[in-house]
Amino acid sequence: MIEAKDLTKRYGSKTAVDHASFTVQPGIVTGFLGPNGAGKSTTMRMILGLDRPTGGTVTLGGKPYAKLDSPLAEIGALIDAKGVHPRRSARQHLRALAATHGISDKRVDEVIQMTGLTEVAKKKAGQFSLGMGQRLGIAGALLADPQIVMMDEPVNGLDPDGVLWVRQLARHLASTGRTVFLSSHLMSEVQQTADHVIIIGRGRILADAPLDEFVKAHASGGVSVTSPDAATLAGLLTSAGATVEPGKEREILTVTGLDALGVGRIVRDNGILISQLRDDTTTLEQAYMRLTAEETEYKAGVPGTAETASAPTEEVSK
Amino acid sequence: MTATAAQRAVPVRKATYGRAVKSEWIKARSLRSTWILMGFTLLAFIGIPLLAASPTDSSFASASLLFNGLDFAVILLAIFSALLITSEYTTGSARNTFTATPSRGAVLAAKTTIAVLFALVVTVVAVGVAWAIALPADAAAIDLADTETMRLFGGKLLGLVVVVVLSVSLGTLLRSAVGTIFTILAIELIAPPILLSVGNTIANWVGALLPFTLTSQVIATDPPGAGEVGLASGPALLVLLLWAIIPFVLAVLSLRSRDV
Repeated sequence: MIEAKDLTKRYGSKTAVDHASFTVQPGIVTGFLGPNGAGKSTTMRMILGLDRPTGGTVTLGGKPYAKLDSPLAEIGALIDAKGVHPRRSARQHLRALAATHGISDKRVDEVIQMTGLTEVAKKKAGQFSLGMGQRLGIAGALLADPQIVMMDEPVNGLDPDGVLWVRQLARHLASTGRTVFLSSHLMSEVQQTADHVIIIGRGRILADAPLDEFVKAHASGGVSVTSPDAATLAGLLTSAGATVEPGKEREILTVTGLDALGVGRIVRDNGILISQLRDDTTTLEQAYMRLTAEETEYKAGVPGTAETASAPTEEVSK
Repeated sequence: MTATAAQRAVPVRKATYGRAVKSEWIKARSLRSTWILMGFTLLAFIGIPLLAASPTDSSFASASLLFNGLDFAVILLAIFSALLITSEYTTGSARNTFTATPSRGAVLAAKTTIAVLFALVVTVVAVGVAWAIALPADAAAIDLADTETMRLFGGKLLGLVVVVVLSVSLGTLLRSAVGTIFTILAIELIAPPILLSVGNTIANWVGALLPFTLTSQVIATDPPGAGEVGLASGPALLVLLLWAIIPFVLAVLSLRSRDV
């Protein structure tokens, strides 16, 4: 379990992480989402004790990272596939990591095999492709069989087989009661893997909810209806109190304020021909976009007014 | 949360200083550059006395000849020592190192241990080989029972250890191999002859307090005469040790306060 309380990181006047509080639970896969520069990596680095928080705390199973006796057994992390000396072989890199925790060479060879690196284990890490580097990073994360597995963009550079492998690995680790925390910018990937999502934007936690709940909460709740007589139908729906937006194609209408049954009733009562009627299914990506759009609108309003207000003052001061 | 050792499928132990040393040993020996640097260090130690080959008349003078290669070898060993830490930052492997051993002090102490061990082992082996094959035939025999000779051995090795610790510490503070090597070159090779030869007492004193000159003051049996710039053996030893201790402490403090 990872617990962050009011976790804050400032670099000078720039706030990278702003009072982030969240808990990553064991037994499920938690996705950590946010645009580039939102504070995902900084948060992960603070979890590992690499960056010191400006304020707040983060603990792993109740202890801050620096107080863990055998940290690799508590949390295995992939935060940068390139964190390996390019002229050291993959196996020697893992052996050096293993030595810090008295882990046997047998286990080293086990994770090499588990991550499909057996054939390249003696090659220098600098000659690895992005995908192989990623596998080596994952091998390092799994070395001490940790309670928590945290991975920053784990599918980056992996081929389709590799992506599937990471997905199955994450599901498997969660099913054995481990805490799995993955960051990604690939929404479809997270939707297929995660049970829970934590969304970060401009350093603040914007949402922390089970995946289904999050998607439902940010669903459009709309109904899509396709009709060759869309104009007439739009008029009827509007007079019934619904809001109608024309779709990209002229025949498709997006209706809110009425459910599919209500729309169907109007269609039947007025004898209008339709070719399709369905509830809009919202994907994680759409829910995420809606959430971040709300955030940007809210944010964008404030500095805009401030700028116009301050502009004349600057003129005067000159 | 944490399963006990008995339940764990993969047994693990505490991440201690000792295990960090073992890890650093694996890292150092798995790079070819380590062995190339050590090879050149051996060559410098053995080759330079061979070239010098001037006759000597005392055990001390013969032993001094064995250490003629040290001025050059110390730079190679300083490069090795600085790279132990600076390469972690340039390759990004620092993130793995500091997550595996969360104690910053333990990591730096482990790296320093490896740097000192490599330097001492290479020097002792090299001096031994040089003694056996590189001394000119007309050199006086080296007598290990001779106090002055033993002071020379002890002083030279200690001076080397100080520079090695200084290199690891500077590498940590500067996070740059080039910056560290340049600084070491300046204080070991460039500054001493200049500062000691100019006609300015302050400059002479600065020169006398550099590790290179302190080492010879530690070895010297007679204290400097009245009006001469320099320290007696005891105080010189103390100042020499400070050249290792102060940068090391600053490096640990810097590691603790800075982000990796």
